[in-house]
Amino acid sequence: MRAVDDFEVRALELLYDLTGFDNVQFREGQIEAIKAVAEDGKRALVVQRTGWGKSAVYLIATRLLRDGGSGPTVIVSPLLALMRNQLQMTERLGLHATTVNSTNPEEWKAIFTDIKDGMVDLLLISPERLNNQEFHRDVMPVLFSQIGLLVIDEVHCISDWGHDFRPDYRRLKQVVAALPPNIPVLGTTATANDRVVADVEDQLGENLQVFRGTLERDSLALQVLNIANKAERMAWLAQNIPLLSGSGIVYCLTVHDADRVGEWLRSVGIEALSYTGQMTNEARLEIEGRLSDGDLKVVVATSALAMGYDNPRIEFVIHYQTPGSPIAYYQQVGRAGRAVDRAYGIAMSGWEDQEIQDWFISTAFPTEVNTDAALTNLARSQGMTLGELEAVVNLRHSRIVAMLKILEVEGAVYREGSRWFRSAQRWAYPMERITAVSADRRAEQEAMREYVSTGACLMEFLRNQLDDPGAEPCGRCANCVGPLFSAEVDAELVEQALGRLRGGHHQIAPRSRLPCDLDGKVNLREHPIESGRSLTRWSDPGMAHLVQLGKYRDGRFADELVTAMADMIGKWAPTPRPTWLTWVPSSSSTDLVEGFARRLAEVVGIEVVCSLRRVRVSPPQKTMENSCQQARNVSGAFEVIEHRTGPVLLVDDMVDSRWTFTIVGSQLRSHGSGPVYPVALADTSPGSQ
Amino acid sequence: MTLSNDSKAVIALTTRLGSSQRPSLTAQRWHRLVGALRDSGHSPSDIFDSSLDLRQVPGVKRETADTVERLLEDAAAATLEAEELGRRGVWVTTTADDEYPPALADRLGDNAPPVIFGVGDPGLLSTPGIGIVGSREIGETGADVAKTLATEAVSLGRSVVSGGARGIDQLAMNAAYQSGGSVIGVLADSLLSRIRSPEVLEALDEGRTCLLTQQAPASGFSPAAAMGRNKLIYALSELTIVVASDRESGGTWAGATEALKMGNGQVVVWRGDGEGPGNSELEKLGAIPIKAVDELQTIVDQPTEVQAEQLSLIDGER
Repeated sequence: MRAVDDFEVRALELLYDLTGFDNVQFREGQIEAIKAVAEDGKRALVVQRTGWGKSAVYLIATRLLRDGGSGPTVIVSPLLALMRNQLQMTERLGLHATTVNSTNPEEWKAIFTDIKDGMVDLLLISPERLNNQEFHRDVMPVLFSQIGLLVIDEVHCISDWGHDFRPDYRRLKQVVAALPPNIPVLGTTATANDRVVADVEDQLGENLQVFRGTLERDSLALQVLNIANKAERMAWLAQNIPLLSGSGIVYCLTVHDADRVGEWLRSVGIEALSYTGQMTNEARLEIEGRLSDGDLKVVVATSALAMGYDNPRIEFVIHYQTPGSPIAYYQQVGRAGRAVDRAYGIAMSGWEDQEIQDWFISTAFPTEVNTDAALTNLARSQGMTLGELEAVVNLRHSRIVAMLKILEVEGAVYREGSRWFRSAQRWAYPMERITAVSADRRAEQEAMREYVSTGACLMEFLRNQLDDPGAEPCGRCANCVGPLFSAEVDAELVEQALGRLRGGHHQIAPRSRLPCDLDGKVNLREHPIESGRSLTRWSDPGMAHLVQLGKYRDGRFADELVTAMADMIGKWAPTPRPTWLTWVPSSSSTDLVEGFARRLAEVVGIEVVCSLRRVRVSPPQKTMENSCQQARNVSGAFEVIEHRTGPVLLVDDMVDSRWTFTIVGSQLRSHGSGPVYPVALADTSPGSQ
Repeated sequence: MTLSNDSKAVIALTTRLGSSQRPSLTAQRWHRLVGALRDSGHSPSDIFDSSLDLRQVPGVKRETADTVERLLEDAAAATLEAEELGRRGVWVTTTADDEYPPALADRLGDNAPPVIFGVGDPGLLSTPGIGIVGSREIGETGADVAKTLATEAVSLGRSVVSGGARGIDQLAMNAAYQSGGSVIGVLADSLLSRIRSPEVLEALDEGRTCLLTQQAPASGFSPAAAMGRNKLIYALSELTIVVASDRESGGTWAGATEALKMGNGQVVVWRGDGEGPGNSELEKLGAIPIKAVDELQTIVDQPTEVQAEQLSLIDGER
């Protein structure tokens, strides 16, 4: 037996304090990692499964470093929930922890004074902070001059090869590279294969000590269910979730699916809430809290609830759609079964998975046309605001923001206040790197396809993907012991789910503010339109298929669509009730929309008026990517040739940006028509898919 | 831009990055410290090693050791500002880097700036260049001389080194750039605002341009910085032509006489139409005269021991 020195004795005492158990021992690697950073001042990387005790390593190291007179520990973590859980644990070691984030700027000053005065032992910040200009300028110099230990949680994100590489982490990598070598750094992750580990080693510097353990999870039983159809998968969830004990998570690939599956589960009486990156931090924290408290049966989430959500009592993780890589899958399914004897990880694979994954891969990096447009304009401009960029780059607002973030970490642009500038750094579109990363994503996608079709042990498959040397058959998964759950679903539930998918009328909210100047021709304040409805979403099964056939094959929208829309209008019952109906003439010569509108007017029983004429042929609205481009594309393209004074239904086949409805409707109003209600067959906007 | 640990040490101890209040080490004190460290078998980055007590290193003054200790307290602020500069495309090179221009180290010795900041192609700094300097106010003839000399320098395969100020500096640099040559602009101040200019960004994108400064890139003008700038121009250039200088006054005069006195570089003075009132005096002080543009090739081809002669000449006059 190895001699135990004073350092280890003290560390063990702290472990007692932290856990409350006096017979507790360090797990393999824990004390070594603590020594590396707290005693030897080295840089270390810990790759261990969630629940292994990575936080014990940096909490104990912090206590020891502080006792030795070092500055505070800074933890960079993308996890909101982690922060809350950790803050509670720190008190057991007498550590004073605090956090600076976007929600508490008014407290920053006091916190920094506390840091300077040595009152703070542990500071938690998100990686986004490091990319925040003001934080970088005003806070980091003070903070990093005092720092005793830098902890980077979910450090695999720093790797270009990581399955969820994030721009903010790339900045973090640059920050770490610029730090003086006497600052100890500890990186932690639960999900990294050999290549990611090598990449992180590369970036945290030479002499990095790596502590890597098994990724086995004894309580977790895995199964794959190949159910292509969305309605059947929804029915399966409704049928099986009530039978599962405890609470769990259902993962979806898109925000829209997470919202819809959440609604569906609630409609069948399951306590379910959706959780996506589009929600506020507060709302997300609340849901995380309710799930942790056992107050919810299930949370339907996107990958926004992936990393480190720290709830050891999750008993099942079901994937409604499969993620694009085995590492991402392991990370998400690994949320289950940490402090329970038995937990299930079920991957359902649908027809749409690959298409969605492909979209993620192809949009991961902006196109050369767009980066060129942005950089050329920035170089000539002496600084531009986001709004000014929208006028010259044909991209959606959110994608321009994403592009700038990438170009910023690439070093091609920088921001000062609200203006963006071209940097003095030459920059060429990194085609080779993008191709390499895409190829890598394709390989991961292929590996995931293999996962859903393999007959071999599922846990062993995942551990092999993560280069876990101890991988062996688990003896628990459906491939080892036979099916855990039947793929069969109740036909009635399927019908119900299908109805839900088809009945997804949703609102067309009018635009209220012009994105850029349109030569004063349109005044939305004086001539606004009402909110309207679309019959279906472009990607939905059911009705959307009929819309697609009508538009691209038959040249005529089916009568079923006329009836369905009349039905929708009847249920919706806009008031004041529309007295006439007109349509947006298409730029092609076909009378697809006109024909539909005339038949609709007949069924609804109101007058139809040919009210609008196209005076300019413009490119399809769907090729215009941001508000300014879309509004300009419509502005001046139509004129009002006839109208009635009552409320009107304005019919079009597709709605995307809503600018056509908003501007044409505003024109009708300015000519003296009554309230304008937009109605469309299908919503093709990206947010609705 | 990846900083070596040695470079981080240079930045932490000799710049005011991170805080304008930092009491940084002068070039001489820094070079003496590095000498003492190397004599004891240490590298500059060993200052970050808490087990090294600088007071025990022979040749390190106690006062220097104290200053270093204070400076190390906010070393991170300095190195992080260097990283922030990198995001704007500003690189930092230090005497600890292989990329540091050898001419500066050779000619300036202990006065070589420990850190220089720049944008564009740093590789240009290791290629032969001809300095062209002169006053801001300049007549038409003087302007033509500056432009013709710049074009001639390019045709001799040289880049043109100048100060980036109005007048001769800009005329020479523009002429060199437009004739397809490379230009090196040594700035006295305000590198960060200079890289907002569309013309500068376009030239940087083209790739035949390098701008550098020894001042913190956000700093404004000061006479001392202007002198530091002149010293860099003379030291970087294989020879520097003074097109027009005032006599006994002005930055051009001060820079040329300093170079002649210190032997920091080879000084050539224009003696023809368009010259300034101080040009003939500079020739008397040891500058090599050039009377026609086509003499440039001959002067360039001459061996470069002239410096020693210039020095002894000045010494002899005393």
